[in-house]
Amino acid sequence: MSADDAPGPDHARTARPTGAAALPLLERVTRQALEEDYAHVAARRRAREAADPDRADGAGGAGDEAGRGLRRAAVVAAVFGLLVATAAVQTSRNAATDETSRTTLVGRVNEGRDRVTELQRRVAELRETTDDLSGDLEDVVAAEGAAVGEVEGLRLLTGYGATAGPGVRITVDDSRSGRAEGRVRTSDLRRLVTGLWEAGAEAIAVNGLRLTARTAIVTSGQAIAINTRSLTAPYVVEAIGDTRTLQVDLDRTAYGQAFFTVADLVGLQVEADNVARLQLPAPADPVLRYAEPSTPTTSPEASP
Amino acid sequence: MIAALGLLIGIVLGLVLEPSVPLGLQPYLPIAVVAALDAVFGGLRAYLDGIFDDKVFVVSFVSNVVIAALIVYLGDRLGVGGQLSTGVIVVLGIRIFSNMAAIRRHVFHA
Repeated sequence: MSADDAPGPDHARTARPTGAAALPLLERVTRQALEEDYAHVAARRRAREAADPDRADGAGGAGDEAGRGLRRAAVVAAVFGLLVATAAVQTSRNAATDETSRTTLVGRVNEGRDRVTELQRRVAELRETTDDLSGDLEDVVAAEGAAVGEVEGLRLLTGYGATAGPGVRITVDDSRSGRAEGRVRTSDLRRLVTGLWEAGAEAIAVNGLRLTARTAIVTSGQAIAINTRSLTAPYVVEAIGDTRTLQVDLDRTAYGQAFFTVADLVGLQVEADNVARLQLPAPADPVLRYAEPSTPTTSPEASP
Repeated sequence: MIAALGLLIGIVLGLVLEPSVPLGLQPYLPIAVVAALDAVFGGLRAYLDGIFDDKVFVVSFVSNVVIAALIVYLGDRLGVGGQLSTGVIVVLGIRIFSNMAAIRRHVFHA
């Protein structure tokens, strides 16, 4: 549709002084609603008929021509109908599809919402459980702390923990004479240790080996052994206790007196010093296979 | 009469066969239909005016359909498909209405 119009009959009738180019768009669209080609072709045909009236009067040819034209128009009309029907079918089919997908989507949204609700409920539940468990954990941690403290105390009491404190270090060595009877014997060491326990020592180690309730001082061939570990002279006996009274009390006990008497007799070298801070190691952890804890009510009946 | 028969046959064919349009062409079908509608009403008016010509009708029909589809396709490529379709529909609608008015004048002599 070109801007400079051909001077058609319509146009000539309504031409304005302003000219075709200035025609408002809407008005131009309305005026040129009919394809101009129809007017052109009609004008040309009229001109041809005017120039050659004989051919135009050939009625049979013209009828043929008109019939063919109508058939052509019918074919185009059929195509048009096909287009319209197809578009309508397509649109309705699409509408059905859209509705289906919309329904599906709505269903999925609802499903998702349900799941969110469910999950939120579970979150709340789990949070509650977590709170409960945290409370339990705190209880357990507190109980563990108490138990650890108790174990530490028991270790100290039973001699199964490393300990430190003031005490006496007594070094015993063979006599300088080098004679056989001048050697330190197991019984000497036993007497000394027993005397120390009696004098109030709270923890004792010999040559760095801690003495516990399961310790035995034995003779192993020529040497003295604590359980299975052989010792060599000099024997360093470290005892934690009251430094002011421990040595004096040791002298007063029967075992202490016996030890010092024998030591004087065979000429053992004995040296006793108060030490402000002794470090006694922990013994190897005991492996108890048969002994098990027993309640205080049954133990008095079982023990005799 | 024969044209109306053709139209009827076309519609029936379309409804019976339900031809499926390729997915790529689906957006252009409605606008092509509107363009075809314009061509058909133009042809009808020309027929009533007595200046109908089958060649012009065929050419205007085909070119209307093709050009309308092309414009929308171009708009889609440029990202203004919706606006261009609206413009095409407006122009074609106005033409259809004014052609209808002319046809009405012919039919009812009013």
